[in-house]
Order: sequence, then structure tokens, then C-alpha cells
Amino acid sequence: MGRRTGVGLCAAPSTTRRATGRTLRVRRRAIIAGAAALAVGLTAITWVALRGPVVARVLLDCVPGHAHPFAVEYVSRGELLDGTLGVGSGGQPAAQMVDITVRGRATETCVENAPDAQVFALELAELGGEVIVAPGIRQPASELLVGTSFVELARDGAVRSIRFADGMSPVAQNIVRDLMSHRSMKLAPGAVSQWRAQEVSLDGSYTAEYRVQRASETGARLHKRRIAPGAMTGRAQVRYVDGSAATIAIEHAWLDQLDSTTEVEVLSGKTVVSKSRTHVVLRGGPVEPRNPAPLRALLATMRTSRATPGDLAASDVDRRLDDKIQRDELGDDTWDTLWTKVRAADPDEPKLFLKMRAVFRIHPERCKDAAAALAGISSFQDKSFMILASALAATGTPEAQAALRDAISGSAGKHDNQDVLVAELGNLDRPDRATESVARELAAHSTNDETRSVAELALGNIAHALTDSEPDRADALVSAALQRAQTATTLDDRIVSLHTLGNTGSARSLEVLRTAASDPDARIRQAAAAALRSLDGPDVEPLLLSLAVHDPEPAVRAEAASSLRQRRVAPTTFEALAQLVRRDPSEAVRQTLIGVIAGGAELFPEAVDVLDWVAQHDPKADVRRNAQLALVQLRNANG
Amino acid sequence: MKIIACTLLAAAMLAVVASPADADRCSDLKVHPKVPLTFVAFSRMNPQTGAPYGPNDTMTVSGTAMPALQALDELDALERQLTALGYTLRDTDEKTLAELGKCPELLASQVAIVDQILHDPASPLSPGSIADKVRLKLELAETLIPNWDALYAQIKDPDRDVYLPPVPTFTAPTPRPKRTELKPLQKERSWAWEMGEKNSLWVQLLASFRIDGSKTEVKSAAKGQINGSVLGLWEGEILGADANASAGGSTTVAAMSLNVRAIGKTVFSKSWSQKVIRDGDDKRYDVHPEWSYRFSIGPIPCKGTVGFVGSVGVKYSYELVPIALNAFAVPYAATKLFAQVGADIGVARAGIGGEVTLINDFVTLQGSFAVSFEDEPTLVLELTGKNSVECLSGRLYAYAEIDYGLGTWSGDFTIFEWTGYKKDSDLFKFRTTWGPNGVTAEGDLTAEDVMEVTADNEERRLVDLENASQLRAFEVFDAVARDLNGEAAALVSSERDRHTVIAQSIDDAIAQFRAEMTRVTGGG
Repeated sequence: MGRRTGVGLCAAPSTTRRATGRTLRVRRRAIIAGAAALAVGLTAITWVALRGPVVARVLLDCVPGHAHPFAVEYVSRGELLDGTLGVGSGGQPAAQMVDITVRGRATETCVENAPDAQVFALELAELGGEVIVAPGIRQPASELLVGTSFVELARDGAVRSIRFADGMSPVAQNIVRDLMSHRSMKLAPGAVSQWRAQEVSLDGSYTAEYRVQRASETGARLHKRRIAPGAMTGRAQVRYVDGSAATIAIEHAWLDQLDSTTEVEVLSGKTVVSKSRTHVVLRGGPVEPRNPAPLRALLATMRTSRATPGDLAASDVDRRLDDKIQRDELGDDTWDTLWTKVRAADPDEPKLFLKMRAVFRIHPERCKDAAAALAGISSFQDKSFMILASALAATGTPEAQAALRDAISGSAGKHDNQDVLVAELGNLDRPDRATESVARELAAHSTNDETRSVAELALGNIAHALTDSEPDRADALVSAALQRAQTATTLDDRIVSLHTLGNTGSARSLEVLRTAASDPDARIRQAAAAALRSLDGPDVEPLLLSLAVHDPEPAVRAEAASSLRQRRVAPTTFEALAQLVRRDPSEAVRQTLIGVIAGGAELFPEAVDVLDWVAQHDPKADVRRNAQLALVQLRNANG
Repeated sequence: MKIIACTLLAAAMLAVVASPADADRCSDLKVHPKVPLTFVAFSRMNPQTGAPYGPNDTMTVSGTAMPALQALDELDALERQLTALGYTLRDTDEKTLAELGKCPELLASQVAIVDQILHDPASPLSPGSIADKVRLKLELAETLIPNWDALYAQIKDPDRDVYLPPVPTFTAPTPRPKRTELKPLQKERSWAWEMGEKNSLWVQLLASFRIDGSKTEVKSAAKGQINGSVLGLWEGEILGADANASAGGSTTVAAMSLNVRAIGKTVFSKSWSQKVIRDGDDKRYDVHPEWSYRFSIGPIPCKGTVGFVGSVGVKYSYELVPIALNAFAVPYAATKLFAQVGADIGVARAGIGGEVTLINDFVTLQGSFAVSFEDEPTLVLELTGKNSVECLSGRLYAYAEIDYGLGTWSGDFTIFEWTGYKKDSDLFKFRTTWGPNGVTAEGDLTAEDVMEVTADNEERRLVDLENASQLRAFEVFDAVARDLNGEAAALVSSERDRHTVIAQSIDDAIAQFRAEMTRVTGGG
């Protein structure tokens, strides 16, 4: 800052150009003044340069029985700007608006100080302001933010968990959670001037940059800036608007002052779906002594209760939200009313699918009814069969999986029905061991060839589903699939085993698939090209590229190109495909390559030129048209 | 080993010469025996191992492997014969065992015989005898060789026999009409279509059908793919289906494979390999992918879930017999969008209503290829593609109800509403016939098809022109041949031959006469 001021003073004298004597006198004065300012500025710069950045070792350390009072001000305004969540063309009325103002007193009383964490009790009092969660619906803040909550801090100052006050409403819990999210910090372990840390809030993870602004023997003042949200599965795209920053003052190893602002936009594609701005101010007062015993007793009671502690990411809300969504979805319907609707002439499939899933989640005992119903349906083409089977697989609970297994055994005489249900086992998110056993049994011993194949393919999908949650089970399934691939002799068995390996997505499949990719039989090579789409790793892409460019069989080249479409290709691969799309003799291959080229446009701007060339010069009108459509899509995406 | 090779060579010579002890005639061989030597057998130890040769050991002699003990036995037998003549194989210097006999006395007797013949007046080689022979020949020449006048008179004699070569028969070269080659047929049709925006809802359809056929084999590849994108949360393959079939070629077995992928996972795969394939079915699988995401409004966590539910699959019917294919494949998807939303506000109730068809699509791919052999092979290839699509139609709305004690606030808003796109269309319809009567192509022809047919017609026109030229040439040559084979042409030919023969005979006679004269007179 001092440096900028100095530069600004240096620039000031050059503005006057008149050559009169008065002017000269004025200019002389100006020169003198400028020189003086320059001297002051240079001195300041030198002082700053010699002094260097402010370094401090900052820590939080609470003393049990010490109560830290704060004047608190919390203002949060959130609005759903696009009620269509980015799907519609805009102009829809906002569905939800939240406007919350809380002013009053907050007290943080240290309750525990353990080597790895410290816990303080949070109490809000003398509150003013109101909470508006829908037009015309207001509630005083003092009625919501009641009771004593307990906040556990890690040694670096990050909020680990929050035990909300008994009886605190979800809205109040979320206000407290947000308040604590602004209060949370991640301090560096040593003496530093600036650092970066990964933190988490209601909007997901983000990177924060800290800088020490001032340091003294008793404390320090920090500047915190939220730089960018981190990638987080299951989260909408979040953008921090400039100004999402905080000033944090720490005195005597505890928070003293906080002035924090966040301005967050939630995006769906390029559309801003919602926007929230929150401003939190905490101004600390002198520490007061307080008997921590009653608070400890309360904390102990809370710890023994079954209430799940909350966290800043609101993981605890997921179950509540899911449960709420399912109950809202089910409404007044029951299994009986839904079964009647499912059997109607033209059932509303997506609605009944969601309602059936809600029944199975809320009333797991109804899964048995679904199993019996499935076994009684004569054809898998009956819409009711699809609704029930899909709802059970999407529910995925142990009861739902048991129902699927029962339905499979109950459909023993109807192979087509059985195959559809067996394939559903491969759609489960968390297939249990009993489900895996059924699939294994059918793959090994079913009297029907197609059922055996479908079960084997489902086992590949089960292995993929278990990769992260139960790697040992997944690994065993991959080993079995590899063994089958190596011992398969008939063409049918060989192709099925290759697709199964592809379904596993395991890198261990690569060598078998690499060998298959050079098999003299084009059908084996095509199966290998298809299976490679699910594999990660640096060796997969060159293998697919080689098949796409060099294989003599058009069907194999098209399959390899289709698999490459699922990946973010490397620059050399993109260049090779850009050449291939201009010269491959098969139009099916060129059609598929257009998708790959268009998919890479985000990373490779030259994709537009390639597509433009194809749109103008390809000998086949259908291919030219496809390239034109891809170009339109790209131009739309780029606004 | 060299010693053994030389030894066996010497043995062969000895076998020829060693029987007589001396020569009687000039043509006989003379043997030079010496004082016999003591026979010493060759060692049976292997010099390479130092151990005795076993019955299974071999040694290579002059490039031929043979049992070592047998080779040494034969060597000993030879050594025994040589030592009896005073020689040994162990002596590596060159020796003369035998040579042809020399006969000077015989040559001297031959000289005497020649002298006797030359000095005997009665001998046929005496000068008198030779002079008599010359005289006799001169007299014969004077009596037998006619003078020129006599000879001319003789030539003019019409009754004189003349040996003439036969009059040749002329034939025109037989024309060989050319035919255009029946080339392999290779036809491919593809189709791509898309609608929507990837940031909201988007669907894309890709279909292709290819048939490669020839007189001896046929291959087909049908492929259908439906891709989609939902709210930018997901983009991927909803359905992937392919069916490949082949018949004929190097194997007499027809083969086919069918694969179905749903949301990127292979759910069905089957392959057939048999002489004749006739199969059809409907393979349909359920899909219900969904994507949940969290966001917040102020401090209120909200959760949205978007997905689609429905079925994808393929209906198929294939008939494959040697060099004939009838294929019917219908990849299809019938999926509807769903969404759920919830906010962590205890007093509020929210949900999603309505129905949006993401995509209902049936791509019918039909193709056939057949070879018929009546007089000439004829290839018939047919490709037909149809599509029935309905997508992005319907209304999806969100509703919220908030109970605030004194009453209920409720509202709803439309998430998505569109009449959608619905169309039944012909993607392609193509038929081509390649036969002896030419090429025909009908339906949706590409520039390539038209060029192909035009080129083939041009080729046929050239071949027809060439055949017509050949026929015309044949007619001309045939007429010429018939003229040449007529009486007048034969008379001309025979007279020409006769004159030629006579002239040649006279020339020959004169040449013979002069040669004889020269010989008799000794060139004087």
C-alpha cells in the first residue's frame, strides 16, 4: 500500500505545461513538494522492504472456565435466482428467498482442552433480528437460536463438529453452522507470514489464503481470502465473488475480532442458479470466568445421546434431507395405492418409480411385497415390472437387495424376466455379499446361456461398484473375471469375459485387453476396444488410438473412437484423431470421431477448425451435417 | 575326421582295382604291391570325450552322420586290405596303387599295316584305284546330266509331275467377348441427429449400417448409439448397441455377435457360430441413473436430484445362410426425466411434478444381401433406416408448500416445459443390383453411389464397344478367309507354289551339277 502511495506522489508534478514565470515558480514549488514526497515514499518503501513480511506463529488455546463474550452480527441473504435450476430459459419466479438478520451477544466458554482438540460452549443471547425463509414468513431470531451448542475445534482452529442445542430447529442449526463456518480457520503450524489451507463450508470445500497483517506479543491480525472452491462430488458448481474475505484478530490465543463476508454463486452450467451473501461480525470483550462443570455435564449428556453431531459441510443434513425428500415424494400414498397405480393402463413411470422408491426407503418391509409382485408378472415388458425392478435397485437397501434376489429365484421359469433382474444387480451402488453370491451362482451354474452371460457381466459391474467401498471384494471379483478371460475357449465366452473385465474398470484387466486388441478375430478386437472405455491409466489411450487409426476393420475403429469419446484425450491423441476424421474411409468412424473432437473443444480450441473443415469437405452429407450440429452446440456453449 | 573322409575315398578306389594282381592287356590296370605291413586296428576311443564310443554314438563322415562303431569297423577293413598291399591309411603321402598299362609294340604293328596298304596296287587306296573311280564318275556325269535345252523342254512338258505343298485353309480368329468383373459391393449409411443443449438437456442419436458383400462372402455391421446430457451434471451414453454378422468367405460357418450397453455398462453380449443362423429377440434392460447435488440458499442446505428412468435395448432378427443375409435391428430407448428437490427447512414441503420425456427413440436398421446364380451371378444389396423419435417433451415443475402456522404458502414454478420434438422419418433407403445386365441403384443415392453406377456403366460401355469391334473384325477376317479358301485363290496359290518349286528345283539341279563338276574335276 505504501509503495502505491509513493508512486502516486511521484506522478503528480507532470500535469502542468504552461511556460510562464508564475508557472515556473509554481512548478518549482511542486518539484520541491514532489521531491519531499518522493523522499518520504522511498523511506517508507525502504522501511517496508527492510522490515519484510510480518511473520507470526498463531494458535488458539482455550482455558477451561474462560468465557469469551462477543457482540455478534450475522446477516445472510440468499435467493434462488433461477427456479428452473438452469434447465429452463429463465424468467421463472424465484422459489426460495432467505433473509436472516441476527444481532446480539454470543459467548464461547471453554469446556475442554485436550491435546488434539478443544471444545467450547456457544450460547447466543439478547438477540434481535428475524429469520425470513419464504415471502411473508418471519420468525424472531430469539425464538430460533436457543440453548447451548458445543463446538469442537481442531488444534489448528478448524471447526470439527457441532453438537447443536437440544430442540434447536434445522433452520437455527444451519444459522449456527454458517456462523461457525465463518469463525472457522486453519492456522499454520509454524511461524509464517502467509499460507494456504483447504477448508470446508456449507458450499463445499474451498482453498483459503491467509496473510499475517499485524503481529504483536499477544496476538495477530490475519487476512483470509477464499480463492476457489474445490472439486467435490455431488456438489453444484460454486463461485466465490470477489470480496469473499475475512479479517481475523486473535488475542491471547483466542478469537478477538472477526469481520467476514462471503458472496457465493451456485451455477448450473453457465447459469447462476442461486446467490447468497453473508456478513458476520464478532467483536470480543474481556474474558469472564465461569464454572465449566454444568456445561461439561450437558456435553456428556449430549455425547451419550444418539444425536449425530453436525459439521460445517452439513453432512448430517444429508440423511435428514433424503428422508424429507422421500416423505414429500410419498405424500399420502401407500404400497397398496401405488401398486394399484402401477397396474393401471398407462402408469406415470417416473413418478411411480420415485414413489415406489420412497415406499421402499420409508417402509423397508414392503420390499417383500415387491418381490412377490415381480415374480407374479408374466412379462418383463410390462411397465409395472420395470417400475418395481428399477425402484428396488435404486433403493439398494439390504431389504431391497433381498427382494431382488427373491424375485430372481421366483422368476426361475421366465428367463427373460430373470435376466432383467440379474442385470439390475449390476446397477446397485452397494451390492451386499448375498447379492454377489446370487450373481456368482447364476454365472457359474445357470442352465440358460444368456442368464450366465448377463450374470457374469453384472459381476463386472458389481466389482466396479465395490472398488472404493470394499476393495478386497472388488479385487476378488476382478481376479475371477481375469481367470475366466484366460480360460475361455468359445468365441461367445471370450467376448463376454472381455466385456466383464471392461465393466470392472480395473487396471488389472489391461494386459488381457491389450492381448485381445491384437487378436486376429475382429470381434474379439471390437470387444477389447469397447471394454477399454472403462479403464483409466496412461497406457489405455495409446492402445485405443492405435485401434482407431490402424485397425483394418471399420467396426473396430468405430468402437475404439467411441471409447475415446469417454475420455479427455491428450494433445497428441487429439491431433491424430483430427487427422483421422478427415480421411477414414468409414463414415460411421468419422461420425463417432466428430463426437470425440467436439468433446475435446474445451481443451483444444482448434477443434472448431477441424469440425468446420469436416462440415464443409466431408464427402457424405450426413457426416457434414453432424459436424455442423456439433459446431452449433459448441457455439451455444461458448455463448 | 579328414583322415576318415580320405580313407573312404581311397576305399572306393581300392574296391575297383584291387582284384587282379597284374595287367595282361594294354587296357588293363597295373597294380604296384609292396611288402605287406602289419595291420593295426583304429582306436575306438572318442577323441573329444576320451571315453570309448558307445553303440548310440555317431560321427559325421563327409557330411553324413553314421554310427561311430560301424564307421570304425569299415575303416579297419580297408586298412586290412591296404596293409596286405604294403600301404596304410596312416601314411598321408600320396601313393600310386595302380595305373593303366602302356603298349608300344601294338602301336608299331599298326604302322606296318598302314605301309602295306599304301604300297599294294590292289588296295583301294592306291593311286591307280583312285584314278579309275574319278574316270567313272565323269562318264556318269556326261550321260546323266541333261543339257539346258533338254532341261527347258522338260520343264515345259505339261504332263510332268510336280510335287506342290497343299493349299492352306484360311480361318478368321474366333472373337472372345469380354465381361465386366463382378466387383465386391461395399455400402455404408450413417445418420446423426441431436437436439437440445448440453448445459440443460441434450440427446444425440447415431446410427450406421454397413454391408460388404461379394460372390463368396457377406459381412454386415449395424450400430446404434444414443447419447445424452442432463443439466451439465452428466454427459454420456444412454444406449450402445451393435450387431455384426458374417457368412461365407474362408469358413462355411455363419457368425454373429450382439452387444448392448446401458449407461456405459455392457448388460448383454451374445455370439453365434453355426452353419445357418436364424434368430430374433427383444433384449430390454432397465436404466435409472441419477445425479444428486447439494447447494445452499443463505445458510439453508438444499439438495436436488435429477435422473431418468426407463428402458433401453435392441430388437433384432437375423437370418444368415451362406452368402445371404437378412438383418433387422432396432436399438431403442424409452426414458423419462425425473427430479427431486428438498430444502432443509422443517416447515416446508417441496417436490417436483410433471413428466418430461427425455427420449423415446426407435432406430430401425434393416439390410439384406443376396447372391443369385442363374446364368451369371447377381448381387442384390438393400439398406433401409427409419427412425421414430420423441424427445424433450412435457412439463416438469417444482412446487413448495410452507406451513407457517396461520396458513400455508404454496407456489410452483416450471422447471422445463416444451412440446418437444416428435418425428417419424426415413433415414435412408437404398437398393442396388449388380448383375450381368448392368448396375442399378435406387433410393437415397449419394454422389458416391451415382459416380459408382456411372463408372460401372462407362466400363460396361467400353467393354461392349470392344466386344462389338471384335465381332466386326471377325466378320471381316471370316470373309477374307472364305475368299482365300475359294477355287481361284487356290489356283493362284498352287500356280505360285508350282513356279516356286520348279524354279527352286532348277536352281538346285544346277547347283548340284556344278558341285559335282567341281568335285570331279578337282576344282580345275
